[in-house]
Amino acid sequence: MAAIAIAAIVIIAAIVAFLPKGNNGGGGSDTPIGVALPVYGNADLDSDIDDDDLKIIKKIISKETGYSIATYPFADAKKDGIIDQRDVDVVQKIIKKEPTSVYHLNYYNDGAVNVKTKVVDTKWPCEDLMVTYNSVMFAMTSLGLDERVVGATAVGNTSLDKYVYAKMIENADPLSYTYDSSWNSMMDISSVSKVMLKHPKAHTMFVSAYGNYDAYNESEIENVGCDVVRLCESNPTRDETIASVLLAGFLTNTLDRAKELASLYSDIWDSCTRIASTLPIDDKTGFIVNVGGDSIAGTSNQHNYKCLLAGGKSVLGAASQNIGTWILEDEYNKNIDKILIIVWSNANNGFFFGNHELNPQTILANYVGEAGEDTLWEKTDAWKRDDVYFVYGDYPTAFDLLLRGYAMYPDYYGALFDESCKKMLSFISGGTFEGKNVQLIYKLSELQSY
Amino acid sequence: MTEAEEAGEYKAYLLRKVIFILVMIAGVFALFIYSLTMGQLDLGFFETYHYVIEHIMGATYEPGTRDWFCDYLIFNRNMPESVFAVIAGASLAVAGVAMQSVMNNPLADAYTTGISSGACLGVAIAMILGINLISGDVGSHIGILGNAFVFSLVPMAIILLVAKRLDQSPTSLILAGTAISFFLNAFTMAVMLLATDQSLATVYGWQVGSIGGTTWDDVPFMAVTSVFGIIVISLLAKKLNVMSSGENSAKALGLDIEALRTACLLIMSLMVASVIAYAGIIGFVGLVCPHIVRTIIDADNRYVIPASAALGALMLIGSMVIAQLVATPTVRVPVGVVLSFVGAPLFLLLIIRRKSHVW
Repeated sequence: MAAIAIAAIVIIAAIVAFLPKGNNGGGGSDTPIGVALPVYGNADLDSDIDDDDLKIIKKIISKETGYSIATYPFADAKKDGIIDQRDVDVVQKIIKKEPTSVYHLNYYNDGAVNVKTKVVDTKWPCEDLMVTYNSVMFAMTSLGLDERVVGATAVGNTSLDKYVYAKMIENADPLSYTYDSSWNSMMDISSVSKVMLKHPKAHTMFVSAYGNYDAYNESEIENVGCDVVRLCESNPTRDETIASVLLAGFLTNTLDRAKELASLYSDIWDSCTRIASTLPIDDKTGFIVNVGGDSIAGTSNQHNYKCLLAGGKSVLGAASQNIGTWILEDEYNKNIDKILIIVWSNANNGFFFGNHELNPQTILANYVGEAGEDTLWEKTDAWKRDDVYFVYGDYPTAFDLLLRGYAMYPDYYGALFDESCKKMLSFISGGTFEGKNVQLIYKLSELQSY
Repeated sequence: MTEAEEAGEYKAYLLRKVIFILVMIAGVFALFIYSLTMGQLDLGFFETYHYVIEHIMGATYEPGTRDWFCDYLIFNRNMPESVFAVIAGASLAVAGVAMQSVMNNPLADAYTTGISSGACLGVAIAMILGINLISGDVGSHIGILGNAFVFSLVPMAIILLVAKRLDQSPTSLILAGTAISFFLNAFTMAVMLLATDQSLATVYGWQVGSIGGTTWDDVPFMAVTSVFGIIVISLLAKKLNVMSSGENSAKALGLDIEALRTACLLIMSLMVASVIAYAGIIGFVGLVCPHIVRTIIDADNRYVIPASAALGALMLIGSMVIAQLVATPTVRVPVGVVLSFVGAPLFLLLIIRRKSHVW
């Protein structure tokens, strides 16, 4: 009897072990990552649009108990406030992969941690694509869409990370931008028009959620027949960034890959926040991060906030490259255990892989003086101790947590870091990183001796 | 010299002024025509004006076709920017003439009277502190516009209030304007200490000046304010001439200097504020154009005003064209950058070659 009981327990345990887990990221109607595809027609708020959604819509139309637009707001595929046959038609077209128009959420971020949404409609599926911003380009590359990107803002930019975006740089035409009087970045409509004329299937532009600072002239872009999809890709909020991956995958017919990617991001995010919550308070690393310019420590600066989420202890909100002498006061200097210098390819502070090789000189030039001339950074105790870490910044937000967490707590994050980086590299289209020893975090001494 | 010869010489003298104005206007016209052909679709002159004529005749095209894109870009991108540049340039130049005349100071312009500083402070408050006088959304364009406009009027209001306690001399007013400018800049710097990188970029960008992305929505308010201001100041040209002869002479001739000065400063503030609110701080036009004009056609405001208007328009639309010509495949240069490159050496040249009798 005991043997039979033990055998039964073993068999049951084996069955349970092989049941689909919550974090599989596989297909089907479950939402293993806990985030819904933000497209109207996704009535059951899982990660895709399928027959399950059709069933719900039909039940609403037939007024079955418990089924209404109030309980299933995303059943309203036409976004007209009424659930009827037209919603069924839209969902059926999506299931059959026939062209239609879909309503979905666009994300708007203020550069800190606040996210707003707006419902817009986009022609579906999106074939040829236009993209702006390096983190959106990263999303496209991760989904294997390099060759479908026909227009991009940074392809003429010599600082762009040529490891990751090599194919996009080769294939895409440059999109140019200009600035209005408020220094909002506006797409140059004539260059958008040029790309659209050359590629008649290019009717969608994927842009970042930074509404004021990227493709600010959204309505003008839409006036020339190009839909604008805003992805929340680097904001330090879990659900919106993961939903954006699903959205990008759905719109470009790469949803299966997007689910895998979203699952990876959610795993990393959840693991990082779990590690951060287990860190002994007395062992917390006092950090300062080089970007944001906000002297207030906390969530108003997304860069600072990501480090907080990863378990760091903020000494001060952030500091720009040109820091003031306050950094040498004991209140800050003595409490900074580590300095994190974030480096990414679209911006202001150095080029990690701009020319297929690390650029230590250009990175250091922003922080280290000319020969014989000290900068204030060099006078800090953390700098003298070599507790300065240059961290790659082009990866999406879940990786921001991981890389910064690893820089601060290598012992706690080590295993997760090794495993996750390998997985992420496998998503980069074309195996650009394959066979290369890619290092994403450099200590100061490593850069100086590179 | 006989009377007839004198009359002939005077007519030639006037003709020179008129010709100068007509040449400036012709230049504006030529650059306006050229500006419509610019952009990345490589439209030639004849192709561009084929679309212009067709548009006027009511032609429509199927969306997404090349014809449709060409028509759209000419009438919804190139034309509003060019129209804005012409009117704004004229407005800034005429405001500069009026400012220099009423202040009796060759350095008087939007900077020295604090108008630009006020606008900048308004933008900083909107972007960094999120306090909008019109719109509630932080960083909204309407909010920034509203703040820029209202705050640009604050320095003038302070000057006018303070003027009652001063001797109302031009020197005192310029000094007051400069002091207010420094004061407002200090406020702006203080606010900027709280800024993120992006809002700092916005405030900085405002100080550069740009008409990139101008749409037809941006034109009416600025155009109405500017045209009204130009007309009023043109009507006051004779009185401004009298003011230029000196305060005592002007008073002796029965001119109410304080009232004229107040009226001009108010109108001029509105004109400059309406441009700054949309385009940011466009430097040099208001300072340089009146000086260039006076160097060529002397200081009669009846001619200086229209000539400066034409030259200001030419300068701004010319800078806009240059900005587009030097654009890289990835970025268009803001017009304020070009103006600074052009305006500074030009101003230096003027100082070196200036005729002392025109100022």
